[in-house]
Amino acid sequence: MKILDIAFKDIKHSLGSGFGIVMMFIVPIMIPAIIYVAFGGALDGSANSSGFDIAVTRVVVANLDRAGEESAGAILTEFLQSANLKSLLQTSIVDDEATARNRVSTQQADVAVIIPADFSQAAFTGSGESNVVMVHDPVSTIGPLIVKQLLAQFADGFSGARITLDVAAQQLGPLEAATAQAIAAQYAQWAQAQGQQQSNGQHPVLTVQAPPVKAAARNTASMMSSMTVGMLVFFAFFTAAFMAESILKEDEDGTLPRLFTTPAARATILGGKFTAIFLMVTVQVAVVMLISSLLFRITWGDPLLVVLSVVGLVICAAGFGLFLLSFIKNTRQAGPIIGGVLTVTSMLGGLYSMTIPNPPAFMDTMSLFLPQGWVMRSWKLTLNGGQLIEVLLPVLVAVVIGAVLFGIGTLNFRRRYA
Amino acid sequence: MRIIDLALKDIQQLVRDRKALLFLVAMPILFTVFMGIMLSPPAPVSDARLPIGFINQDQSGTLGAAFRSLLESSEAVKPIEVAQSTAENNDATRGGELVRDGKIAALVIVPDRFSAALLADEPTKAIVIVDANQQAGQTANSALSTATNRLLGAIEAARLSTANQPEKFDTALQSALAAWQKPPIGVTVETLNAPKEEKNPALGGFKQSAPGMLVQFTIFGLTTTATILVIERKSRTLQRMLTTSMRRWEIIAGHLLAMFTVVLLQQTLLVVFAQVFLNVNYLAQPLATLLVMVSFGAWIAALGLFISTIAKTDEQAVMWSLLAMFILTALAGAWFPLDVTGQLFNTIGHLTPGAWAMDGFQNIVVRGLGLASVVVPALVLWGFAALFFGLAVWRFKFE
Repeated sequence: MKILDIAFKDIKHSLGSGFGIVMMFIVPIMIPAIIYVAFGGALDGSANSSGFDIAVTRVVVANLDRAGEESAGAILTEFLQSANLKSLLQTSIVDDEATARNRVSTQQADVAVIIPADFSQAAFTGSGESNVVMVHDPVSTIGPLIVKQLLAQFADGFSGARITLDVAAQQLGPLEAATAQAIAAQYAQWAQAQGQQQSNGQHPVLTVQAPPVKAAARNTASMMSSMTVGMLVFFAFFTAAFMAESILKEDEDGTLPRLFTTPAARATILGGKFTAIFLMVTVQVAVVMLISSLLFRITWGDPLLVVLSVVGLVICAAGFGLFLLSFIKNTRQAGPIIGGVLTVTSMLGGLYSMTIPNPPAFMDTMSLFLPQGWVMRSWKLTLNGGQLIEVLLPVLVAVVIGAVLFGIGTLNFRRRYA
Repeated sequence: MRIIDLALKDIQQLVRDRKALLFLVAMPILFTVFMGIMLSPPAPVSDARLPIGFINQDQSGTLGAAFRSLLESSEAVKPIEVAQSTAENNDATRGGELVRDGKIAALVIVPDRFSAALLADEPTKAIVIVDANQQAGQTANSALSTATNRLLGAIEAARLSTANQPEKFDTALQSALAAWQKPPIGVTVETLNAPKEEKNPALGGFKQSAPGMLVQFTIFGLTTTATILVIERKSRTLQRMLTTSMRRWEIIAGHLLAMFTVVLLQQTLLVVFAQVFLNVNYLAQPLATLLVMVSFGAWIAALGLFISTIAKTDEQAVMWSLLAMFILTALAGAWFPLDVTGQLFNTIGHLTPGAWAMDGFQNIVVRGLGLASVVVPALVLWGFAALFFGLAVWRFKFE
């Protein structure tokens, strides 16, 4: 009973600290929340990603193709200014290439499209080749990709008409203007129908299927859930260390030696402090998971596997925190050591690279040597719908690591306060 | 002179603190390297195109092979064999697994009688197995769409040009397919101001991580610099200083100067590290870099002063500094370029000073621009510095 009294006193004390509240509950939710706002539905893995409102790309066009109002350059310019693309592009026109490049250089535009003088000639008269030049700001990434795709589609439209006329000329001999015009018009009509069909999501010759899932897998972790778990694990380890630091603080403040003068056994007092670590980490994990579920609609996976992963996390984090603090002499040392050790081990344990699609291979190997790596393994499997047998191994390893570290930490503290 | 003495005292106090040095220098370097490695594109290889598994079951016609040939000429993808056994089903299963495991970007299965059906205008579809949630999958989808459109375009070209001479259809089709291998109209992409050896559209990881982590850990440094003032207020040292001949503004200026100097030194170390070891070319424009550093440092010092006025304890100073760091660095685009976020986030980001510091640094190291390009970011940072300084002076209490 005394153990619980001491534990609750420690927890109450920690919850009274603004710093503790911020680091245990606010930051682990705030970081994923900021990312969630930044990327909207694009990260939650749901089919409906309408929450992600992509930034409009500022395009500046220099049309050097002066072949008249019906020139290929004029058609391309009109296409880039069309109402259909208003939500993606904000297109303006300039007279020359230098001005267009300057607009990108001075960040008044993200992309410059330079239509060459020979564009109509290459597109309509069947002679020569021509390339539209797209110049983009090196900091912009998504905007230029969109513009490039649009330009490539457009260029293919003209190429198709040109190839059709070339082939027709090869088969039929030199074409009369009316015949050429008729063939080009028919091709344009066909291309337009194709484009229409594809923009409605119906590809004429392709059927897209998702890859098969692993026999064990029932769902796929979204980037949002992966990132939230990364933060959850990092701050659970932080909380354990932060709670264990209270032992040193009480020692420095003289309250711990005073407690040792009471009839309560030293084992009971230390046991109460250790219990506080477990309870606090458990409460933190539960609160962060609950709020994250509500805010980010995270699907954690099979409840049994989630409970196992939580157990692995709590035991491992508590053991690691106690172990780490048992080697630290005073609270002055504690800050940098907790910060430094947790940052490095979490980094190498893969906590910060959960959402990176193809992290370097050495990261996976490195994570095998770190407690955080095993905890993350169990969570990854849980989020990805792994089976009980798969999740059990990393959970067991995490529990064993936690228990061993907890044992060493306890021995160190007992020796110190013997 | 007294201001400088006071500043030197603060700096000495910080330098003696090994914790401060760890957070001011070692951590940002570690994070810069780690994040840079994570964000960097893979090392260039001779053929960096995404592999696409290609299973051609259209043995009776030529259009399956033509489809593959059009994919061969793509700049984004390259078709590869996935067959390990002669059984078609096994090939498809294995290919699907390779897509699932991220070994190939997509798998294309061209069905039997694909050519015959297409030429007879009958419905037929090639199956594409792709993870459309992955960037590689989206790229593959786009490349496949382009290739099939060209294939269909070639068939249409052949049809239109041989409408009255169907016996010439095959020859016309071959001509059209050959022409599509090198289309007459194309698109050339240029990255503005990219150095010649870096004509790679992918942004180097260190060019994002170096300024990003500089911005983050400079704000983080306030956990140590801002606490000095709070501790002095708590221990009544500030009050005691009022009994000396030092004026109030001199005391504030002394502490502000210390914070500014520490932040500037920290930035200098990070800039030199990134320049020497990570090839992030800050020193291509030393004056521009210095202007951004000084302007950013002025804002950080003002923020530190402000935090020290709202925090009652050193623990609160750390708490406010951490909150400022997490919120302002995320909004600044220090963790990921603002360009890839939504419109709203991008706009809000530029209402915060960190985003302007990032703009200033990136104008130098990514865009390769000069002094003129950082004038606006610097002015905005000075504006924020004035605002926070005003707030701090307004709230400042000596006891």
